[in-house]
Amino acid sequence: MGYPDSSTCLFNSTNYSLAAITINSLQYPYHFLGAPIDSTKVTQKMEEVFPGVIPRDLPSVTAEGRFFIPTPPIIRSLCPLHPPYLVGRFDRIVKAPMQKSLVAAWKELVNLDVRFPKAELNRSKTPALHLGTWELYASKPRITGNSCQQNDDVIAAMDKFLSIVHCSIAPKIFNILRSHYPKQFDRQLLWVSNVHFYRQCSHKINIGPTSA
Amino acid sequence: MTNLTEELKNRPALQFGGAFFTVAVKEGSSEIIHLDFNDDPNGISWVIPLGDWEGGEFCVPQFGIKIPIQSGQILGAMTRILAHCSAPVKGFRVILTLFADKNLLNHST
Repeated sequence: MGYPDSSTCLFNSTNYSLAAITINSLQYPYHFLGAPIDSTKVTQKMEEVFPGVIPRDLPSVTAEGRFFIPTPPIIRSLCPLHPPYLVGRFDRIVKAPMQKSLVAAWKELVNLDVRFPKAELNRSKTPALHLGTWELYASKPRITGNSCQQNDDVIAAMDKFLSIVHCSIAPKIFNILRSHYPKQFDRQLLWVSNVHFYRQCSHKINIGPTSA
Repeated sequence: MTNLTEELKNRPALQFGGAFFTVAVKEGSSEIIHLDFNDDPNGISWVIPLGDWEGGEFCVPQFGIKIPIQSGQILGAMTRILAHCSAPVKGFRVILTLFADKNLLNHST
């Protein structure tokens, strides 16, 4: 049981990619399909394809309400795992008290002696903490280094911050995935069902009725 | 997986029920256009801004637009194939990016 490697859809099949590019060149962002390239080449390619474009000066879409850029139907027919939306903005998800709690917990955390990684200069001047579980830079899933290579006070404050994310944000995303991105939902839940700790812990998250 | 299971029993706040697996959190913005190469190609990353700020729209030159993300809103995007960056931010903003990396999803099913 299991999904195919997701890359089989768009990235390992030249025919699919060519078809997508040919048919949907005006709608589908095909520019970076394929093998990863370094960040300098991303910038070069953007300048080549969109000369003179300054991202911050692009026209803005409405700030209010939901906003979606749907995936072209031909792409979805070619790649069943492709999300139905390339971009989706959802409104009134993070309530004001939740926002305040998260900001307060974040400030409490960063007032301690947090070990930040170096900033990723290919994207930002400021560093980011990566917290939770991932499988980058290792051969199996693990807790990120930023999550655990900290002193005890920092870990306590970090867990307080993440508990709010766990209890208030995760259920919202869970419901949005379930209602709007069913393939992604199924795939991520499959991962969860294969891992004992998630099966044990996930019931503790308050997954309410779909509100997104 | 045993070690991870044991570690997460001690740190339950580090797991998110499958909604996402990693939280990147920082102050400010990512103003340099980039791709999130470590994301799953068919996955969605979620962006949640917090604080009191102006600006910080999600810029997507491939679509020729920028998308505001206000307090209370969240944005999901295919950040592995959409080159993106943030417009400059005035004020205080904490930004959460929630995602599942490609290796984790592909190697566990």
